[in-house]
Amino acid sequence: MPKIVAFACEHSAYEAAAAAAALGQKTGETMPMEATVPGENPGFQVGRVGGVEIVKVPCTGRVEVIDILKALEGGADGVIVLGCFEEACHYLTGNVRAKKRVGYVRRLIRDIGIEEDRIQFFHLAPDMDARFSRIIEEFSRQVENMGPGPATGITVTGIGTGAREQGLATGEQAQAARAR
Amino acid sequence: MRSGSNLEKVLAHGDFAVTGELGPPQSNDREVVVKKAKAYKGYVDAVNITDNQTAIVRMSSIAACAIAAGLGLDPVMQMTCRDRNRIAMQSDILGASALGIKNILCLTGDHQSFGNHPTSKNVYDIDSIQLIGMVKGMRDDKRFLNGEEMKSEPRMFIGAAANPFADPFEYRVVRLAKKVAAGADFIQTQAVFDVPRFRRWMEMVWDHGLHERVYILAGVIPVKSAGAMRYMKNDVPGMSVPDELVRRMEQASDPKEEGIRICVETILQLREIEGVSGIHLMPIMWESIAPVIVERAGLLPRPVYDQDDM
Amino acid sequence: MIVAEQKPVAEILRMIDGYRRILVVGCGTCVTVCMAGGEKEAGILASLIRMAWAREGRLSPLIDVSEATVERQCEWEFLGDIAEKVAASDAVLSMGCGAGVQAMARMFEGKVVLPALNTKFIGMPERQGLWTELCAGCGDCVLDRTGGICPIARCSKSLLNGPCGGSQNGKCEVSKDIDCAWQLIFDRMKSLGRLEALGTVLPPKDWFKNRDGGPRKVVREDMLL
Repeated sequence: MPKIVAFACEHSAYEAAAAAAALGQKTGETMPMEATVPGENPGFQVGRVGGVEIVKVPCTGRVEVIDILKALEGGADGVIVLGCFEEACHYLTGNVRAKKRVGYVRRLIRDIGIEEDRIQFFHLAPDMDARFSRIIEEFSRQVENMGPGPATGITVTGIGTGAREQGLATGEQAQAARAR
Repeated sequence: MRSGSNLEKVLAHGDFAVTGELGPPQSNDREVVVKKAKAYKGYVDAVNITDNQTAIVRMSSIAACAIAAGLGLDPVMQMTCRDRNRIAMQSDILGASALGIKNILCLTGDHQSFGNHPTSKNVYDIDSIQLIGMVKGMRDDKRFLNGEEMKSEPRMFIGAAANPFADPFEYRVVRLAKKVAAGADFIQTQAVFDVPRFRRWMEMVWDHGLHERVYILAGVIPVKSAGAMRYMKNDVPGMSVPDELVRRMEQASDPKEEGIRICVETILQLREIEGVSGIHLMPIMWESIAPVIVERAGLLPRPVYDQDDM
Repeated sequence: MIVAEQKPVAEILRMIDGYRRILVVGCGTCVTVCMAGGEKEAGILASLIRMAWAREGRLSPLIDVSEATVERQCEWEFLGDIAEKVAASDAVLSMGCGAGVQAMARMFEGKVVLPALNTKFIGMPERQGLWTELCAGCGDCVLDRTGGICPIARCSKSLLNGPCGGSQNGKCEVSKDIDCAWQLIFDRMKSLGRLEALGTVLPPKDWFKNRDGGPRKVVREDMLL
């Protein structure tokens, strides 16, 4: 299974993820929600649902370009940003800005030859546990087809880098991973 | 006489002047200039030779003017501020005068982004009004722009452009007044399709008494097709084309004939407006139609003056 | 402030091709405010370079792409802080404006200093995410005569005596996205009750103050040591 980092708004997507975890909806498997711990970025907390690293954020508007890049660099094969529906942002337009920012990062990675679909944005409401599971499932399949992500193996700090721990430590390993 | 050019003679005589526009080729083909110039001979008092119009590289105005002068036409050398600094401009003015060119039209110039070298660096060292003043200083004060004296002055009849249809509308006449104050002897306007609006502009010209200080030649363009008329209306900056004219062109069974008819009607209307001293024909890519229009507008024969007249 | 934008990443990657240890240096002044070359952008660019190189299989323990940001690249006194990091790099990728790049190139003699930005103009943010040029640094300010709106920087043809014939509906002939500077000047002078001033012919500009040969200098005798 590819390594996925999901930045999830605590007002919507994170609730959906927690509900999905409770119900074990993902392709019939159970998906226990692992405890969330404080991240390096104040206000971010890192947890896990099944194989997905969930970064709980107060609003997707808080997710910076560099957070997404470092998640990729740190070993994620794909990054999704899960925000509220357009009219439902707790901070009015944080989700709209996050969506634009995701568009910007997609262009950046495309410019260096990385598949832009490794980064995507989705809207979710708190009760959409089934949609959360479908998104994860579909996104995982897409990312898997793309092969390993652009991890550099260089130690990077930043949120969402937990994926690295189950991944690769050095550049050589990263290359080896790509060769597989 | 400031210059002794044929155009100046016609206007000074109080005759209704006719000038035509000639675009040089995008090549060194002298014959193109000769052919176009000959088509004008006997039908216009002077022929404007454009200076890399729409910022597309063409044979230089100065060279094409010299060719036209050699054929007995009175050329108006157009000069834009886009491509030369004050050094090159003064140098070209001296050279033009030495080649027998006696009229100059001072223009800002279309921005290079319209042309075929959009990556070029524009100059705009001086603007068109400053250019007018510079030529006047050379002619009347025998001084270069820096104040230094010259031995013999280039005798130029100084023209400028005016666009009655551009914005800010209220400022247009102020700008015209500045051109007159700077030393313009004659004005050639943007093509007139919207005669009522042109008349409103002329009323402002009268209010400033400018029609008594400068000769105004109203521009006209014969249009070949409805598409061309629509292009004038929608895509040429600073142009006003009434819907009625577009409709007439669309409904015409013979659009070319309709285009000629509109042009002739426009000339006849313009001629009635006080302060309009002549017309400037701009038959873009259709120079051969000039004689037809001039004749049908009742502007033939063109006056002829002796070499020593006045 | 000075407004800049990042060069396309592909161009930057071509520029640094052949070097192994890259120090990306952000600048904490103008380019931070215009979001082109501050600490954030330095981090993003360094990350992109690492990933691009990883893609090409170029990563090895010898490769190092790191970032540092100084308060102001265009003043030597701030550059001392990064001297060690610069010494440890093969090439410095400056995210400062053109002045920053050159200040670093002079400070760190013998070190390759490369520009990651295209320095655009002196301007201001019109709104979030949009910056507009306001000043051309011509060296001979005419704003007193033009209602506080600069025709040198803001007119496509730098005209001093009013709009050309291409001004329509307040827009420039070059593009409907460009405001005609002379329409703006006219409107402002009108609102100031100073329209009459626009009837005066302004003489040719003294461009010597703009391009007088070599770099222009400003000297304050009282400040010289």
